[in-house]
Amino acid sequence: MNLSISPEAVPLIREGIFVGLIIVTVFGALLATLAKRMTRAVLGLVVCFLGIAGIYYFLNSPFVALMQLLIYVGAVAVTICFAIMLAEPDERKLAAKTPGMAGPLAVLLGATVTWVLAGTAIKAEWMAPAVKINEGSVKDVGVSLLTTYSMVFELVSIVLLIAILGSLVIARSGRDKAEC
Amino acid sequence: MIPVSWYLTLAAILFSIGVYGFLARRNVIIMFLSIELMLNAANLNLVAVSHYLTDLRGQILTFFIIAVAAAEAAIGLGIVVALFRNKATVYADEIAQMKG
Amino acid sequence: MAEINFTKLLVHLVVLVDVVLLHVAYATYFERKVIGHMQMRMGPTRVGPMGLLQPIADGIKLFFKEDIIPAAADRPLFYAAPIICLVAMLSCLAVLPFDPNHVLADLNIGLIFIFAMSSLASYGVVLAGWASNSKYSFLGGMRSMSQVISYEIAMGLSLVGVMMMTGSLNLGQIVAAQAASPFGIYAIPQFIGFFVFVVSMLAETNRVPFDLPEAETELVAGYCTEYSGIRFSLFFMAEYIGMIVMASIGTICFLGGWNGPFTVPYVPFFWFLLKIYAIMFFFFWVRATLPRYRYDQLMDLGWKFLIPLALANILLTGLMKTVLE
Repeated sequence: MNLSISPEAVPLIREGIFVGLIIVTVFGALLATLAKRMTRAVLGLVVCFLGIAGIYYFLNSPFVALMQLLIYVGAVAVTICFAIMLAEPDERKLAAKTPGMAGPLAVLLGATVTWVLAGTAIKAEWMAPAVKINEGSVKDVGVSLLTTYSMVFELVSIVLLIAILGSLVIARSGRDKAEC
Repeated sequence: MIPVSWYLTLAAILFSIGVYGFLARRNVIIMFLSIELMLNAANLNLVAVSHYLTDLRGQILTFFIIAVAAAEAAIGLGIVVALFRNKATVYADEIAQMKG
Repeated sequence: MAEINFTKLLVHLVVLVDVVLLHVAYATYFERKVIGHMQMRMGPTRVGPMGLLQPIADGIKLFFKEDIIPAAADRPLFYAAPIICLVAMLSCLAVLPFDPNHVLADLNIGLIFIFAMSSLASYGVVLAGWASNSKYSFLGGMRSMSQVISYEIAMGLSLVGVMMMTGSLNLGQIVAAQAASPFGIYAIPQFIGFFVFVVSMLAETNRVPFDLPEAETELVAGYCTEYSGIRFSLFFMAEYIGMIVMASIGTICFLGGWNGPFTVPYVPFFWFLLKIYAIMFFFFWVRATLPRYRYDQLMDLGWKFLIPLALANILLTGLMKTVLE
């Protein structure tokens, strides 16, 4: 038994996986916005992030893909879970909570945005993709982060530091009030 | 080779789902999730274009967006938790103290 | 594009998963024997010669037990949680190089991939805690989540020193660079990093003395309280595979991977396995020796001691690197 795949079939498999990833991503996004229970919404978000990470991998950016997994799935989604568990909101109220006109209007707006953006994307004359595929290697990314973009890099670290301090202050002040 | 318009269309769809979620849902945490979706749609565009132009700039910008999104998550969820401690609700339309 | 040989890939995959699952089964036996002898007991002796068939009997028992799902559980999430844990942990195995020629996916950023997967596994634990809809599970899930997040930072930072010395994130290249380094293993020049890694390894895998998420004496079994039968065994396997993966990372990054004092003919992965067994023995030894930490002590240790220490290690490594060059 030899299940080797001929080189001609490889692009087909690639496209199949790609379509699968698109379905996963869109399904996750829909689950995230439409789910009745909040933990399911977060699960949807995680599924969506996983799909997007897969698509990044397709785009020859494995480093971005893994950063997506590490930071979005490992940090942001888990932090959201934390917030849900700490807040423990009443989930039964969730279903009824859509003010009259907001739903249809939001659908309308969303559809318009899709139509405009996707229409532009499909109709525009894209230049032919470059022959040389960028390697997206960690080394290149690291070098440009610490040379060309070093200023931005430092600023982002300051933003992160301030964010940590700020969230600590916000979260602690509530607790102090509850204690005294 | 998958054309770049596919990626951009997918990003547009994700962004619109985010827009819908942000406008139609009143739960602060779900609104927050929708913002994350929109940020991800932007990232997807950047990485796709970066790939097709064989230019690393898009990827670098994506890193910065991811970092800022992480900061935003920390602050945003800190606010949600503090809000819940004080008002015991996570619904945006129940926080109407400033309404005259 | 090269031709993909599916047969070879499949055989490789099946052998890898089977070998690891066998190791998981016998790790439990090894653990019970080691702890038994440390406490002047015999450990399992009844099933088979010297109790050697005990893990198989346990496995059969777990597979045929009734699968109970609490009425108040969130069913889809309850089903998904152990699977997420196990899949995330199994996919870590793909990037581990057992010897120069045996690695399923030679990823250039293998180290980050393992981190990404282990954070995904923590998500499974959280979901289990939430979906079970029980106090013990909930508390266990919360504890596990905060513990894993905190110690993942310390662990990542402790490995940055290794990355700086190697200049690569590819696990195979890390081993190769180590063999060329003066000491042969990074555990000596990177001893601070190794110390931080070992402590956070214990915390990441929820082992004693950091087993607060499943502390039997206070939380019944933490996040897997409500799980029984096959679903519980999935969590159990995920935990032990996690231990094996962490032991492999320690072996690859600090103890020289498949290289040893002399080459063993026909068994290229001999030293790798030996080192993994040594680290596993260390896990059990610690379990038999140390009492459990208190929760605030755990967080203090992670944030106020290990993370600053790991940062200092990065600074030191950088300084040494500039001075020596």
